[in-house]
Amino acid sequence: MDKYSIIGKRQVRTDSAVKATGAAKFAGDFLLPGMLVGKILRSPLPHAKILNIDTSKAMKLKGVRAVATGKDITDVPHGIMRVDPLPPILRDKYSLAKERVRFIGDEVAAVAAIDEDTAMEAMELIKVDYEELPAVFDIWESLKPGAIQIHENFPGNISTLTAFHHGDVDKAFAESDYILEDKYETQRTHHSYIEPHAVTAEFYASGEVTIWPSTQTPFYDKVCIAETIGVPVNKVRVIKPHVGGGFGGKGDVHSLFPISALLSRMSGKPVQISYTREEDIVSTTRRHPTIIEQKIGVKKDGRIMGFDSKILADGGAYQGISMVSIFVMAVFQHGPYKLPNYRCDARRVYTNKPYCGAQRGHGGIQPRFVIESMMDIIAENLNLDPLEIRRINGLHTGDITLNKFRIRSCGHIESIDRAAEDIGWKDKRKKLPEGKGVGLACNFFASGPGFSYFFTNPPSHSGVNITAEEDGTFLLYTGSSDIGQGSETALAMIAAEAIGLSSIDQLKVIAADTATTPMDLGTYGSRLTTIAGNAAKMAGTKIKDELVETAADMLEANKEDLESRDGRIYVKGNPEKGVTIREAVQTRFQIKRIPLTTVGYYNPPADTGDTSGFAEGKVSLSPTWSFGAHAAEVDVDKETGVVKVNKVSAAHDCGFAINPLAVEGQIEGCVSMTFGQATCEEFRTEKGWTMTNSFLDYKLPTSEDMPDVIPIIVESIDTEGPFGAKEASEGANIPTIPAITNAICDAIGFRVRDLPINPEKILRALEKKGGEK
Amino acid sequence: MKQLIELKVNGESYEAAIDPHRTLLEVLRENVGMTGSKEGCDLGACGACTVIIDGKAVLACLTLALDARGKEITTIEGLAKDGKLHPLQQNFVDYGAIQCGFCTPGAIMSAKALLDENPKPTVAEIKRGVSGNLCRCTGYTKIIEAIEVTAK
Repeated sequence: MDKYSIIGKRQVRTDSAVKATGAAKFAGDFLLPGMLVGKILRSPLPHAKILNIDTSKAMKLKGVRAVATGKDITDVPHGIMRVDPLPPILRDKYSLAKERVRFIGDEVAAVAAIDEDTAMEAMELIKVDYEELPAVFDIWESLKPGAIQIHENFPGNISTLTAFHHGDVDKAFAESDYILEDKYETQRTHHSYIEPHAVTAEFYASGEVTIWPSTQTPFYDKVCIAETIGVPVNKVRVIKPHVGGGFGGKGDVHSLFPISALLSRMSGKPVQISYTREEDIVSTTRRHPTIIEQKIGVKKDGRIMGFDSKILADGGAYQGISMVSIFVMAVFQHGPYKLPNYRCDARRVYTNKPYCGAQRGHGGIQPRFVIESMMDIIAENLNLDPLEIRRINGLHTGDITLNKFRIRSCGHIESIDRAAEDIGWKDKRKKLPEGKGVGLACNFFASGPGFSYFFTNPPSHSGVNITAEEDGTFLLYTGSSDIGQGSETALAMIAAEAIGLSSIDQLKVIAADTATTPMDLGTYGSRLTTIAGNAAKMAGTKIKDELVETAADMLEANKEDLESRDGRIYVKGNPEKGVTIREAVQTRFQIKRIPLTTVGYYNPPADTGDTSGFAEGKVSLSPTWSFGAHAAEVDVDKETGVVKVNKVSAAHDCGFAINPLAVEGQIEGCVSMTFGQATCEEFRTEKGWTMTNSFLDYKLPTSEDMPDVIPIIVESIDTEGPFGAKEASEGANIPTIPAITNAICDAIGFRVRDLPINPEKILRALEKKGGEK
Repeated sequence: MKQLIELKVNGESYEAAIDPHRTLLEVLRENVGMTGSKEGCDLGACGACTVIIDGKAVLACLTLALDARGKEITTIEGLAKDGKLHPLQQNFVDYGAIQCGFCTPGAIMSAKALLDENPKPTVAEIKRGVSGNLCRCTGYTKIIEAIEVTAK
């Protein structure tokens, strides 16, 4: 008999059929009676004062029902960095600009009209008088003394600064046998979920408003919408519909949410706003571009002694979630290698460009590209095997890092071994013909943040309620947001296993409605399997305990002797003597006449990291950590400079795969996103204008571009995650880029130090005879 | 000036009064009330709006509704019969080819057009067949697998 009945088996998702038929409703699919179309007028200037906005002509246009400007919202800026004691100045943006715009695309006014054409025409009739201000587009310009201040509260245009020093780095370098200093640059990329941001809002005469946004964080939206339009928080209800991908780009509170509610209140009609792709690319967030200068000192055998990192990120015009972005870039360097001495100085600089935030693999992508490249260079220069230097420095189960991360389970070495084996490392590394090569890189990522940066007093990080129904089935209520990753199915599997059901068909998940489901902080930091999963496990276990008690009475047995599994509660070792779960539920209701609802919750342990750089150390980092390794094989065409990635063997330590079908899907999706960042994606601006404002200019990987991706599931059985599970949705995004660039170096001896890799860079490198190492 | 048109969608007739510049995608979603076809990019670059017109996969966002008069239009809503999924839909479900699901209707319609014309495609032909359908979730592996299985 298998250890488990439901988890660990390939489970078709609960939401797939409705998506396959086109019946699934996304935020822009609601067709409410009398619904209006909302449109947002955006700044055409990168930096300007707003002197006056004249909306009178627009208001008079036939079919226009409402026109809103910054005067129609409260003075409370929106923004999600707000946990006590973070200073309020971190919230530096309004849904509709007040007095000043800071990038081309900043929201200035909004219109609700009977149709899109009318709304567009009305926008042309809004007259905005601007006084243009000097703008800065380059971080070095922005950092110059005397540069225009983009936000008055942030002198020198430094939006965020994080500094860490653990151990004695200078002494470590003095004691090192070999020191490598290097410099790398990473580009801006956009999430490019296929569903652009959208929202439908309906404000009722009762003073309440219901909003269906394309979101990852409904409970944050609720608070920000209420504050922006000036209603009590309990008057706002946010219901997450199906979401067409997010990848971190729908985790900030975007302006269209409060604007839709505002327009609905002003017009008395439901309002829908659907961003065009151009609007979406220009005005939402994107991954931070960085310049990273890194110094690593090692002993002759490759053991890391000292590690010094200087990170400079171009943040764009607003803060968003960047305090977390910069912080995690610094601290995620503490794995998968043990660092005995560590220093990091990370700064984020404001510029008059679209602003940056979180994207899948948040904070891991940029430093990991640097570290994994340098590990290969160090190995080469010390005549070590690139796999060996990664093994000997690797963390192990039970380790505590310099900054107090607890490594509760670790599949680092198994990941390296299995990725290397799958790619054929022994036969290929340095053995393939010129132009062909293999490379490997590792990863390390949080299984959910251990802290809330939004709520100071959340009831818990994640709540799950389970209610028994009269027919012996169950309803599971969770505030967590499935945005396509399959978390609702995973939670159903975890709860069903905990109760002892025979299939997830006996349990229905009701999710992400702020009025009916218990609070969950949201979908980010790859947190749901570990954090919401533990809450689901607790609620399910409590249901089981209650029903076992009933069954014990029914069977005249000791409850300690009973087991609940496959839909039955029975005497261990004597499965014939038992009752069905349905009988247990119905008997319990018959005898007690008391509803059966259990409350599950989870809060990450407090001992998970020194966070002195963040919110005065009041936060902990992550309950547990994922590991992994990717190996890539490439062909470089020396005539054209085109790099073809043939295969990526992607090993990921997810602790335990609750749903292997979904874990594979996450790994494959992760690889495709960073394969794109490595080879074709670059968000470009020119004097503040977004040049890559469509899918024609912003190139995403297609089915014909993708390498063969081989997902390899490594299971280290974690002690904190539910049934041993850790994250699987972000960590596997991280090693793809350096695995590819390390393979390119194996193929042609050229070290990629800035992204994306393109034929021009490869050809230029090949021109320099022999390239460089 | 609005114009009255008749469209034949999934075998049934629909009348709508529309401005002549409205695209088939807009009219399907707003007038016919079928929101299965999605708008992902507005300019024919993502494939989320793919429908089948007279046997060919077509981007509904680049097609004027007026030009679709008198033609057989099949959308994602027209594939399942009597509550039973089309084999392509079933395999997309069973093989994990659906994550967020926003590209799914377009990808299934492209796959259907491919298999209707070429029932036994090679893997390369499958990749070519859905190369106009961007998917940001799956990395395409399981989409290709689902189509391959359907063709067997």
